[in-house]
Amino acid sequence: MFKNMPVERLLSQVSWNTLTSTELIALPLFIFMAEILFRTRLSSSLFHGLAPWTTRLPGRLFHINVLGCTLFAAISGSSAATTATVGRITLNELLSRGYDRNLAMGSLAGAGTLGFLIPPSVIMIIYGVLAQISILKLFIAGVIPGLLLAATYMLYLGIRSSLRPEFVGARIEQASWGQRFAALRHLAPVLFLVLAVMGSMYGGIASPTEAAAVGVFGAFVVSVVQRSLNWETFRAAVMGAARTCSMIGLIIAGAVFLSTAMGFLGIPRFVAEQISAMELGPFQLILLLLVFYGILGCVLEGLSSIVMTLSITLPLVTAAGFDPIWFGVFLVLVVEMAQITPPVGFNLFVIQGLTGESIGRIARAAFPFFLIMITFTILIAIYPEIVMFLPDTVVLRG
Amino acid sequence: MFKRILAAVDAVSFAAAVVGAACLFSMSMLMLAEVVFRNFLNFSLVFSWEYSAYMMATVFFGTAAYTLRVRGHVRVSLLNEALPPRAAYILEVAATTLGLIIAAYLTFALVDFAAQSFARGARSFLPSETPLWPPQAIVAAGAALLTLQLVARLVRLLIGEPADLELPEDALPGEEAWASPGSASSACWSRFSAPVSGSASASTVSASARC
Repeated sequence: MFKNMPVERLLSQVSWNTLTSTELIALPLFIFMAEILFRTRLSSSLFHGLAPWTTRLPGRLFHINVLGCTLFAAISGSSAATTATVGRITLNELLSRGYDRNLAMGSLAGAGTLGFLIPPSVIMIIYGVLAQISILKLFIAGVIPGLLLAATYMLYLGIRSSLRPEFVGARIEQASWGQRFAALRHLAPVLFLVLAVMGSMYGGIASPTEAAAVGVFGAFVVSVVQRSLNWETFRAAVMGAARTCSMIGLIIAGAVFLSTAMGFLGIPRFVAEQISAMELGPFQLILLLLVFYGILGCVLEGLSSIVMTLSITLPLVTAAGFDPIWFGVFLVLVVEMAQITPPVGFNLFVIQGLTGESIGRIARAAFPFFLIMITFTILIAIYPEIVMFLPDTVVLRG
Repeated sequence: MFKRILAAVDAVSFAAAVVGAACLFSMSMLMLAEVVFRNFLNFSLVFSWEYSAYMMATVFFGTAAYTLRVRGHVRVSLLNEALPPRAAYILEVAATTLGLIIAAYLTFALVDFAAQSFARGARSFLPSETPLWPPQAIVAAGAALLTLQLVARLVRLLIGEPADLELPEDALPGEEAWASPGSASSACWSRFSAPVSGSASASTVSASARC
């Protein structure tokens, strides 16, 4: 039926349908929530709650970067917000205690990307809307890979610090079990939010969108309790969130238009024919895509490069036998890698804002974590069950 | 005269962004109400999803012009920074012109879309049967404003005025990343971001005119 439509009618219809789709409502809400939380004292709460628990681990306080980001990722949908919120306190604390600068910045950059992989996730919402698959299933699929990746980062931090003891601050922090449990009260606001967002979603009370609304409310509660809510922070949060939403909204509109236009021109089918002529195995196809996105990431920001190419790559990948849910997680990992590699790596910019270091140095510091990610991505291509186990097992209510 | 018009475009963009922000807050509260009603009162606010979606579209398009003004949209700044100033300037003008053409086309499409809905009396499929043209007209207006702001940007580039405003200092560092430092004086910004009150738009007009 679209064939007889004038182009401008088609453009406005698809833009309108996508930008008013109810699944997408979760996106502005999660962005708003992160903006409110960024202006609370959650960052320092995370540090003080986690610090006593890391004193016996090799690499000690370094692990706060990973643990803090993992926890915050469970309430935030964006990796830049995760990096900024966690890094605000931890980076200064680590550096002032004499921890190695490169490892501190690199682990923050790497762990910050968990914001996209561990649900909720802004990227997964956008992918779910464009690929028309269940956002909740995508969220569930991100849990195991996210935790595994966090564990791998911690393993790397432990090994690296054991090999180079001078990387870790000279002062040995001590903590008794009593202090550890007492410190948990600092984590109460974060755990409250995780419970509010995740609990309402997986408990079946709320869809991702409603969970996001609960999250916004929870963020306001935390903000009030920590006495950081006032007119100024509110205004800054809501305006900042509106700007970010608009930026993402225009990317989505552009991507929708582009994919419609490409569909008209038959580009996806042409590419699919070319690729099938190459007779690639499923695994080789994924490697090819990894290289392709790597090259594209040199000129474009991660989210744009993915949404723009989705109409071509998604059919290819599903034809090769991969589940669209799996591909969603793969794409999240691709965006995460783009986040910590120049030129357009947002996590690098965030850390530059926190430390004033050059992008080049931060990118070098983050490079080992980039290697871990790329290895991990290849691993989930070999064993897709890592991703698919939970969504295949969990029976969703409603 | 020129500057007056430019400042007026800025003021309208800012006002539209405030509308966008208000929509963002309202849709959050509306969805929250829906959760409460559905779980505790066993009663779904059917319209909440639909109206939240309209408000979401308003956030996307209403804030777009202002976001452009404060350099909030994604840019390939690497290319820009790598080029010598003269070439970077030409690239900037070319990119703005291209963006202008696309935005103008989008505006034309959306205005036509809203007009069609109005002419046919199109209503939503949902129980509310809301006429579709008002939310569509709002979205079209947002796109038109973005087009206008792109024109203003082109004019600013051509008469050698700074094309970007600084972001507020308390923005998420990730967002500051999109803005490169030193493109406009921050004094301009602090006046521009004066708390929204009755006289705010009037004061922003005069403030930006002087900058």
